[in-house]
Amino acid sequence: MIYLYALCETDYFPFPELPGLDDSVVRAMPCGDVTFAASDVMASPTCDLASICRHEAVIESLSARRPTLPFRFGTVVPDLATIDLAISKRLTAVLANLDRVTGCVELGLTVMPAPEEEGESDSDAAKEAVGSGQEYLNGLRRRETLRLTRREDLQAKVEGLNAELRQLSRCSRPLSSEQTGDTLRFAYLVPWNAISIFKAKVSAAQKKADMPALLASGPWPPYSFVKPDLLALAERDASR
Amino acid sequence: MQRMVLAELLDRALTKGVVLRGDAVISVAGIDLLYLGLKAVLASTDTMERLLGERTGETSDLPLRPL
Repeated sequence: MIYLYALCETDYFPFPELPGLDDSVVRAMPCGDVTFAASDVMASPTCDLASICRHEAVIESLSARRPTLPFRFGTVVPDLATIDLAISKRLTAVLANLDRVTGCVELGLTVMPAPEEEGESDSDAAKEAVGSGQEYLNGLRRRETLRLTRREDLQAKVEGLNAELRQLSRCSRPLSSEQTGDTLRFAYLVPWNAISIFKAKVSAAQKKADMPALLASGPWPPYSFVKPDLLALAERDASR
Repeated sequence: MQRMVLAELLDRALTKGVVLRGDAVISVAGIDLLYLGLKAVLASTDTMERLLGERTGETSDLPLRPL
């Protein structure tokens, strides 16, 4: 099986020697105009933190040298022909996407509401559940309304900063998260030479009164700026 | 702080089709905290860490829902 880390444009520069998953060596697999960074694996990788960090390290090392489109962790194909066929059908879009991320990194902004700004807890809902069904549903609706209002307030507080960061970026998008509850998250595709300005703007915004907690993270490979479904046919579920 | 940055990494690197194996808790203690620290490009640690402390208490584990 072939495990895929990233895709880049075919060029004459050799890949650095990088350790991949399962102690394999990452190698370049050229397919016409694009080259895959891949390694041979015996089975789908175990989804643990060490493997995820290894995957990430490979992509970051490659991204430092050439524009790349990262595959998500766990992308495995049975043979190179499978991915070659999938990508060749949308080569123009792939090259355009590579062009879009060239010279840029992804930076993240997380906006975390203060504890008192969060919605009522599940235990509050449980307390109301002892009443009638109608009371329970009304409670649910009230909490959802409150949650949305607070989310809008939070968005309003960072809108000025968001606008400034968008101006620095080639493109940006809000992110949804499975893991961080009511926090707001954004991703920005920022030129390398604008990272320090990005950082300074977030830092200055954090000092303003009534500003929620901000965390800028990165630089990341441009995971959030790979066009949806562009690499989809290449992906296999690595989890079981 | 490391927990937040780790969540950022996982949100990016994983697809929703990937399910974390085993328990839904990953210990942060065994991973490269220096790496995660470097990924926090903003020094707003005091504000963020205070909030994280208020929310969860100081713990070295990151609770994760299967994606």
